[in-house]
Amino acid sequence: MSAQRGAGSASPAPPNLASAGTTGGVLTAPALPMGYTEALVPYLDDVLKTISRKRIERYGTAIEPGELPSELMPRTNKVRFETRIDKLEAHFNAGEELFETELTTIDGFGDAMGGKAPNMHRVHRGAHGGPDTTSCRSCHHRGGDDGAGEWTENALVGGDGERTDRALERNPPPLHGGGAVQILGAEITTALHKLAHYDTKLTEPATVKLVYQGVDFGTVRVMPDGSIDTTKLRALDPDLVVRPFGWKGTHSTLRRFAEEAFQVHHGMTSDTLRQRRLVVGTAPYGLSPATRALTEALGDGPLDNPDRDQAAMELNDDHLSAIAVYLALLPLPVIDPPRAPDLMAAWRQGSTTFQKIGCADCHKPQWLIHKPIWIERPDATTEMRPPIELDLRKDIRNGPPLRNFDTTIYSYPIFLFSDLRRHDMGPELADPAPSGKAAPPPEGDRAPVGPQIPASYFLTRPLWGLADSGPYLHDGRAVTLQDAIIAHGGEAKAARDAYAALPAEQQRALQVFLLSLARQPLPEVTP
Amino acid sequence: MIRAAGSYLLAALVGLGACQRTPPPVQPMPVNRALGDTAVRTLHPQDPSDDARRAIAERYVRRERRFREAWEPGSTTAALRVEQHDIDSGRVSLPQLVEIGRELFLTDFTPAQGLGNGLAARKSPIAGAKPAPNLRHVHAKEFGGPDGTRCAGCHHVGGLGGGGFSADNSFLDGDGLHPASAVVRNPRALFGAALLQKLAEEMTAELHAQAQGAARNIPRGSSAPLVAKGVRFGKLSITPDGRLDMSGIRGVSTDLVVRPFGWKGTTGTLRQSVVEGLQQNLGIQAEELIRLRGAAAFFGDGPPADPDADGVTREATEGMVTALLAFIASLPPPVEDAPMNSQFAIMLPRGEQLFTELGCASCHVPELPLHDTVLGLGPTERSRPRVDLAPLLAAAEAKGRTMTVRLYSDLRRHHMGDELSDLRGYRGVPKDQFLTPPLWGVMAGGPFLHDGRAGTIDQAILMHGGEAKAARDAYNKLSIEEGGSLRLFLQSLTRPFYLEFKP
Repeated sequence: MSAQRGAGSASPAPPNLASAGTTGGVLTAPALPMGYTEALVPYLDDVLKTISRKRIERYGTAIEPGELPSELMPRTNKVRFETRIDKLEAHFNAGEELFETELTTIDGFGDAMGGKAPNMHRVHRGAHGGPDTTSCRSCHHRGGDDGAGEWTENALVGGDGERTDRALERNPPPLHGGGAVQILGAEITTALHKLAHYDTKLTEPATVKLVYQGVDFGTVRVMPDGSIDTTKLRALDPDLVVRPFGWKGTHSTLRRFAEEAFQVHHGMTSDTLRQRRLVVGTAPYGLSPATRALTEALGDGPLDNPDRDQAAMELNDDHLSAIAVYLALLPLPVIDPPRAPDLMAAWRQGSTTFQKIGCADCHKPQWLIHKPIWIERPDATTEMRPPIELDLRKDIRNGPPLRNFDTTIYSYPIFLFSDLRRHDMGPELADPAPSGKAAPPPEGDRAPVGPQIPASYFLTRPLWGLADSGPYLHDGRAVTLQDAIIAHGGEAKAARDAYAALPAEQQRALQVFLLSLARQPLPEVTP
Repeated sequence: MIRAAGSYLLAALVGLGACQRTPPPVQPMPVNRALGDTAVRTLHPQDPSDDARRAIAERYVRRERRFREAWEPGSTTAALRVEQHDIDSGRVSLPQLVEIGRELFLTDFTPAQGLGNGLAARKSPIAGAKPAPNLRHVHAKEFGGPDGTRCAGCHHVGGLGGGGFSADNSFLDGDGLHPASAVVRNPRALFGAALLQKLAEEMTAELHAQAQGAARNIPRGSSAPLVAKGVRFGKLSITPDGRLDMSGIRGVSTDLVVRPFGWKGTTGTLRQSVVEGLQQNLGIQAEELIRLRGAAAFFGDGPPADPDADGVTREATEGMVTALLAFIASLPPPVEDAPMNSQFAIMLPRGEQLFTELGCASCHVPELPLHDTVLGLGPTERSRPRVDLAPLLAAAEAKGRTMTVRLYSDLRRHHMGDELSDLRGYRGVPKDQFLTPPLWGVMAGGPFLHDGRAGTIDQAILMHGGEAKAARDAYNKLSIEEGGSLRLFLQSLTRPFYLEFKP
């Protein structure tokens, strides 16, 4: 505050950034936080290896330009045939490389439909997508590798390929912690299916409340013949599958999520999608609505090369496994409170306020995972391509494993700050009704966006890692936390109003609390 | 004023650089400070644990500042509003200025700080139709988008101050709505920008001296080559009746000012680049831009002190622009890396030789001499700070007083043919002309070329055309080993490895 007063007074104090922080400038930085030194030593060993590996690899790639099929497939092939190789490690490394590679037309980047490859489109053409960028990391880097994207990097999805105002604006979400979310989603799905008597026979219709770990997912009516009336269900898809990925909750696994991203952002079609399209006209059982829509928009080319470019085989099963393993093993975000005593007090106050005014009702702070193991199954599991087991208790890379410090419970807490269900966010946050190729609005003025999800419905955004992931909201419209909170509407209107009615000091305390939801604080190698 | 420059904004900004405002009455003598000791961090790979400790400590200071800003709004942002007179009077030291510039570069500007504009309420045709900050992805003419929230958002590849990915491309000079209407531009890396400006200034002086002496030195009816730092810019002729004929000039505008910034070489000084970027990409209107009311149609039709009508005046003070400049000037310059592996090391000299033999080096000139390394970062000649860039060149050879900048560019424009041509010209530069981009640090970034169309360096070379066609064809005919050597040599042009929290 002193700096602010100084700036306005007659004889201004010298602007001094060092005095703005409590702890002094960079040169007089405080000692590293407790416990850092131990965490750092093994990490730095790894970093040294990474540096020398990256340097050698880059020179090697310079001599023989590495292309995905030639470069990565032998590696994953080796994984299949050589038992000595650590499969997990190999998949993770290949996935990291896929994530960081600048893709080229030789890899299958882009399409040649009605234009010269790669046929980039900043505004997506319906569900087919752009392509709009050349690498995963180009939009997931904010706050570090695998982070969020800038406003500049918003995807303009489902548009007409031409006008920026006829597409849905989507800010790239941060990717850390995806492995735990994937497992949690599956555990919730299993629990809901049990509740809905998927495995038992009823004699008369029953009304079932779908509640799991305190989250109310709505009500369904189960009939004796096993069918389920889901007309009142809004929080979930009618198949009662929790889909925690995507701003509207459209994918349940990282594999399918990445597959869609490769398709719409890079024009790279997975073999799986291509082959599913071969089963002409039938929507394969078990596909999510999003993947189904994607299958129908691959392109107008021949069946083996729907996007008509040079590359027919663009993304195979091994690539998908690699990227899914990579994403699943990224570290989980952390809660990292401030250090100064007065800020710490504000942080505690903010934490209480978060619960008190109802933010925590949807942004549920804590979930329990019962079995932190994920089996990553290739789409065509064979003896050569066995499933890969990921145990988050030991396999997480570049961060601490999932741990349970409370020995009285047999489960693992994660601090997600989301209830993983959809809510009506009201006209304040609703997508604009898009024209172009999107379906016309059926009734009222809220157009459905994507299959079956109304324009104003969004998945509760997990708030973990929030401090490093601005700008906020699905279209990145809010640069500040204040703007983001105030922009809430619909089911969040009461909490928003409660926030707006708070004294300014409590509002600021809440923001201090939110800023403590951060990424795993380890530096990365550049360039 | 320049006839070639098609836009008022550019003309206005050039005017800004050229005209000297009346200096304040009491002005301390400019002081030259060596920039290196305040900012250069790593010229060579260092002990990563030191690097990590420094990075972590820095991160915690920044985090604590963010918490403080949330708890006491204005605590950091007020400190960032540095005034030029405080810099001139020495109340803000150079290290402080670099630190403020770094924070300004990293921070997300907020609508309260002037991000974007409030022109939607006035139904201004030059801006978008959304409430403030009114961001949009496609620029409308010279007004810009704005299309971002912070500098580091698009200048981060290969480390802070690098270039951008293709997702960070700007859509310049469009209609505000259709990406296809705009000129697509990949953000360029900023390291070494201060050196580019010094080189360009010296070249400009050399060219102007030749033009002024032409009537004396060139016989009537003949011509003489126009040369700066060994780079040929066409020729100057004197007509038989004694008039200066400028029609033989090549690669530079007819005012003979070498402009090293922008893919087409349309901006002369780093200060102009920063002011333009603030306006077009962030909607932050620098004080010095608003003074140019002549071009108001391009900045917004709001009140005189707040043309973009967002209720914020003096969005960027002169001092803030100076701070950004100080930070950019202090970025560690790129390095020429030595491969650790013997097999690679043995191939490197052959690659460098091929780079010259094929003719790459005739435009991507490996090194240019620099005589004067002192650069003023302030708005006027007499402003502080004046910094000595020589420490940034420590890695290059120092030959007596003349420094050598290994930038791999001739800082002139070339015809690149239909292969690389834009939809149309930009700011008076024809659609197929581009400035030779410096190749230093090239492999720390990517994608390549002005619109980021090339994902690999191999593709980038093969996409050359026009004046570079012969060199491209020669590259295409290389054997596999030779092509490999050349790319290996290019791979050695990078930035030092270090540990950081990525922006």
